[in-house]
Amino acid sequence: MKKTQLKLAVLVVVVLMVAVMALTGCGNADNPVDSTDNAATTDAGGDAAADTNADSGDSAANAGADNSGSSTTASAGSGSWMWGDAAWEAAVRSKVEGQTLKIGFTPPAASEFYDIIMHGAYSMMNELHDHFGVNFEFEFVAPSEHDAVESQIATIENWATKEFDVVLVCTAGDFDSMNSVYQKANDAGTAIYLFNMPAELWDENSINMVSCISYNNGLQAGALAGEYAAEKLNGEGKILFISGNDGHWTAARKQGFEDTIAKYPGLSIVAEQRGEYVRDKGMAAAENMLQANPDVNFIYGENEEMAQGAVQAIEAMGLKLWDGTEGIIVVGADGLVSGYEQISNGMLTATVDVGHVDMGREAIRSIFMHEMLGYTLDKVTNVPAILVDADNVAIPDAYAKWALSIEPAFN
Amino acid sequence: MNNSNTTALEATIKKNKIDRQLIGLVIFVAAIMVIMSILSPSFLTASNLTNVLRQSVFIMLLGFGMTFVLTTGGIDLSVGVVMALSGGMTGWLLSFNVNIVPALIAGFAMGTLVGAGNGLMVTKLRITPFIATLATMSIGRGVMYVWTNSIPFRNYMVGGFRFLGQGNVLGLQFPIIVAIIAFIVLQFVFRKTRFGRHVTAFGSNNESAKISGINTDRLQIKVYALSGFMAALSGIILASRLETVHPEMGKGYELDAIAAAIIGGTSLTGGKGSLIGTALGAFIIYLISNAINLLNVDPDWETIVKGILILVVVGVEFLSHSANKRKL
Repeated sequence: MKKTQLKLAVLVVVVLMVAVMALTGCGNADNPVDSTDNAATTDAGGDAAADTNADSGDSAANAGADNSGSSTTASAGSGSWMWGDAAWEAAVRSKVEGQTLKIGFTPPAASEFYDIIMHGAYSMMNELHDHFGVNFEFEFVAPSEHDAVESQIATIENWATKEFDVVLVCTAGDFDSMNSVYQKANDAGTAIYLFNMPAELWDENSINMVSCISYNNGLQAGALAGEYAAEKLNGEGKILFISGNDGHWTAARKQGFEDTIAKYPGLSIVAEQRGEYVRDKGMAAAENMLQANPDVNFIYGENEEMAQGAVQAIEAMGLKLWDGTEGIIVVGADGLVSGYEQISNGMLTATVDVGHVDMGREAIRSIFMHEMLGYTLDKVTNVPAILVDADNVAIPDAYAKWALSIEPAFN
Repeated sequence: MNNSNTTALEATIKKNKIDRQLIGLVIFVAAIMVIMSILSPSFLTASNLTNVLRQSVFIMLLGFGMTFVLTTGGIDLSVGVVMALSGGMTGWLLSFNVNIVPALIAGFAMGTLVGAGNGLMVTKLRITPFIATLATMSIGRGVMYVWTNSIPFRNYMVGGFRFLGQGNVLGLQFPIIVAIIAFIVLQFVFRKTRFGRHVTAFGSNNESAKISGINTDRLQIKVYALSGFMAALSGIILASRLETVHPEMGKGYELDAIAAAIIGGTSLTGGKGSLIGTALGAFIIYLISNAINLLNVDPDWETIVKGILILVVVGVEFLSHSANKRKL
């Protein structure tokens, strides 16, 4: 009796596991409708699709320049490629057709944010493949832990051994500590490109890389949130700050935010606690800080998960969310689809789109231009970033959703 | 017979010691309350204390299951990931407009079965609990990444489901009520039923428990399944509370749950467990965080202070423990 029961239990467990594995084929359950629609557009391929792509990139870039005011940091003319010019395309095609670039892509974690960057990269590889006949081999490896820098080092070493042409790295590891493995890869003939790294914190010439395609974490994320606070509060108000895990992104965003707040004597950060970049910790930090400071006007969370935790904390405590004129303003950063949805719903007030799609696209474009056509690159290329609130959420939302719908078709 | 009598006797003695430790914990909580009420006017308010209680519910529920596992001398590192798997299962089904009842049943089944799987590995394959549940943790987390494509499950909030994590009954948040009910039921199971006594007996002495006729394999499988079930309960409520299931949901919770149980006087080596202690332990962990946040201690110092306070709690317990021994 007992044995049969146990066997039955084992059987059920196995069936369940197989079922779970099978589910993985189903893909993203969130917006199946969107992806099919967009996939159809992409399938149409050719110039029409590519043109729309380039256009949407432009509009996002322009909007970014309008809003940020100090857009000098955004040096990339992202997405603006002269698709459709037959003579130029033929010239490039004759040089690169049939060649293959082997690219390794290693972000510090598998997350929605890096997924969007990777899909941005897919979109550019697809376009280059369609127009110039160049092929890509693309591999993706993320460490299981965000801070597992040594596993990323092993990944880079493996790719160098396997003679990859290029490795695209974003890591929680310090620039200094990563430099020797970059050198090792360079010696093996593998070029290192960085993405989504706050290069402004280091001397970029000392890093053994070709180029860093990123955004300025201080000026294009933290400072945008600070300026937004000053504008909406007319320079007067109390601010709560929910920080992420210690690390270079956190440090850079915090620096940009605090420097901006310091310009307005009426604004003060009355409390700061850590939310570890996750929603439940962000919510707990917000609840505890709101308990001591129920009269705050503004909460800045260094990413959207924590900011959304703060939104839920405000609601649970019966306080008022920002309605355009009064209430508590909550601002996040990153630009995830879930964050845009919350902005559309009037829950989250604003966030910063740090240009994830363009980082992916620009990284691939830079690699292609330097590695295959021989153009030189600046050490640091910053893509446009933009503060997103209910007024302009439609543009970055559509852009991110478009990128997420792109499937690789580049070899 | 003789054997089980002795173990029962040992268990009573240990229970008395636990009661003394509980007094220590209560004194510690009282001390924090007094000090904090002087330092911060917003600390000793009903809304703040229910907030802390609500924050600690998730660790508390995990800790209840963990107390059973630790009492058998085992450990369950997979509870954090089971939270994500169960909350994910329920949320995922709800996002396809599945009725809430089957969605909840599937979530609970997921947790219970993964837990039972742990138990099977521990008993039938003779893998040590640490390694078996570590493997489950790793596999489960990977499944979460693949299943969600690294994009959190969301858009599954329906009215009834929202109530689980965010509803109020008689002025108390529903998660707190769930924790109270779970505590009452499990306390009864732990102290008054044959199953509960077998758990303690097995943890005190595996061999004598086996000789006295307890089906130890079945007992362990049940204990791990219970832990999985409690993790599922915690995960489903958290999914309702957070309105999204992140693939990394519950990461690190297993260590907090173990810490809560240990602070409460449960032994890592088995044979000794206290659910009241675990509840207090979970509450203390969040009370310390809350106090530190209200005083606006620099976040860089927060973890240091937290660690030291936990050492103080456990250290005081140990000292009172050895003082008692000398008296005996």
